[in-house]
Amino acid sequence: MIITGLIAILSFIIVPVLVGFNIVKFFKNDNKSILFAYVIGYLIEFAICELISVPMIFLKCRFTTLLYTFIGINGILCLVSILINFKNIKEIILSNFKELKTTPKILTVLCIFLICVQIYVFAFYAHTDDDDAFYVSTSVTTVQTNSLFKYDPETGALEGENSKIRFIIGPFPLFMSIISGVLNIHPAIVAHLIFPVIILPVIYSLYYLLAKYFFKEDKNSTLLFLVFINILNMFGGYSKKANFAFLLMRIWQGKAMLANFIIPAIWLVFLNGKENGFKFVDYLLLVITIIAGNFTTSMGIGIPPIALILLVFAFEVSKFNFTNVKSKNDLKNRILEFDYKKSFINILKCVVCCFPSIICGLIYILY
Amino acid sequence: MFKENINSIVRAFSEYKGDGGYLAIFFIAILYMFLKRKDKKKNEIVFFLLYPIILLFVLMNPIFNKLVHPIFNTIYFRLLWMLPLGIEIAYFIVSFINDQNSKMQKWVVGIVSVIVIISAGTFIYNAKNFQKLGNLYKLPDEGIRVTQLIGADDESYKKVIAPPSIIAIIPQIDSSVHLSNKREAESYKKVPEIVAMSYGDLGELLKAATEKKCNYVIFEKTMWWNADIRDFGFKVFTETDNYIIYKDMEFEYDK
Repeated sequence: MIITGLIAILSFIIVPVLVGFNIVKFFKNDNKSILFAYVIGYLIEFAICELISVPMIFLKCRFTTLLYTFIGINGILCLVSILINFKNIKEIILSNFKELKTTPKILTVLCIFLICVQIYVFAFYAHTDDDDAFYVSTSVTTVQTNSLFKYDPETGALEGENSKIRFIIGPFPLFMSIISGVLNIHPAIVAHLIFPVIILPVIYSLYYLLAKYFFKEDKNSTLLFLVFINILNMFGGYSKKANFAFLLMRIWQGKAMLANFIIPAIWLVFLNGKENGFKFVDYLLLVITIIAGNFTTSMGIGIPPIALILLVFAFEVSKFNFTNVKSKNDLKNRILEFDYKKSFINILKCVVCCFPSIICGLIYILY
Repeated sequence: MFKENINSIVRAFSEYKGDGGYLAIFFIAILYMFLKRKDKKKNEIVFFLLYPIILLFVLMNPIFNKLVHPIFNTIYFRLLWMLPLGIEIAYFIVSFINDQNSKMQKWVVGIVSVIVIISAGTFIYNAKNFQKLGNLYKLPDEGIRVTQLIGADDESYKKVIAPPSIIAIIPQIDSSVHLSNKREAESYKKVPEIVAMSYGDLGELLKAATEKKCNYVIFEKTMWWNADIRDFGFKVFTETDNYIIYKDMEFEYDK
């Protein structure tokens, strides 16, 4: 039990942070933020899982091949991260400790309390969802037959329902299988108990980072924002179709992760990129987030790119100067003088970042 | 021309908004951003004002709906997840609190905001959504027990006809216990064995069992049948509080 706990802490906290620091190191701002690395680390892990699992499914590899490859890649990334960040480890720890020291205590405790309430419900209560008959059973079948999407998870038929392309290109249940393989715990327990407990702090870290982007050094406002996000989530049960319900009732399903992790991650990565002046590392992170979105569900092929393109479009439209227009001619001149080429290039760059979705979309259509 | 698409959009919004409380606060937040646009930073104006407006314009557009209809037919509401609903409301509340001059006013606005959210929303943690279960699988105890009992049997081939009350649980526990049919929401209730269960027609059930090569049948103890399954080669394998599991003793698995 203790060893399982230590493996869990290593696998779900330390490894993602180390993996994340491979990229975070190259950011202008937040390049020492453990929380930022923690969130980015999970995006990278989902992206890795997508890149290795989809070909392995087509090549009819065993699940253990996927598991050991995933562990191996993460191991290498952790080693690389330690090597490239070794000199800065002391700075990183001190910087985060300083940030923690200056964080408003009461609001922090309130936030942590509200998150713990949600974790407590995941740990001691259950929401049963019929969709799990497919998604969780896919994880179970993967582990128990040591195969990848070979058997229908419900009828046991060879190449059944789950051999449909839309499940293969968005194989999120495999992440539950991988956790199950690492911890040697039944996939249904991983999905319903362990995964929600792991991922909820990651999602709230993402919201914290979004709040920090908007409120900058105002830590009171940042944490107050997070308190209200908690309350909004807990009282978001007015519709089973809204993202709040998906977060607190079935976060182990890929579509819930799309709504509550990937889409907000797109916003965070784009807004950070905008602030940093869109360097190569920002575009790389966008690509990683798009691939992570593809991994969660087949809808992840379409929805994150649409969100990204509409967001960049909104920013380009905002460059039109409509204030203090003196006459029709003045307006006409402003429209003509607008730098359409630069805007088009900015939008095109973000479209190019969506190339993984374009590839998945083509596979979906042609298969 | 776009009647079906408009209906799809209306249905999606209706499913997504619930009773509309959160959406109302969201629109108030957008209005607040418009009114305060000169005081806010550009990135905030774009993300909290321009982006949601452009998004709503696109999603409510029947032409866009027509384009994506083949993929998002019955799940168009999922596109609404791109709206920064929770973030916008939280940002609006915090900004509004910060706009107040005195500490007392900030507290009042904060408390009123919490009351408004509670009134506009619905507490997710209710008995309809969550049950206290004593096992780590977070699945009904009896469903797990039934699955484990069949899974522990010596047979290398196990295929079961199960009632709707337990069918979603079995494949989540043991992949060696196969179902006679997939549990797809729309079509499942029309499969012969489930129709047979609802009418107590044992003949139809056994016909389905033979066709689908099922060697186990699970009955709820309250089910009524027009004959006794034990007269047709089935024996009681085991039982739990609410279920009896029958096994076809004459079954021979032929690949």
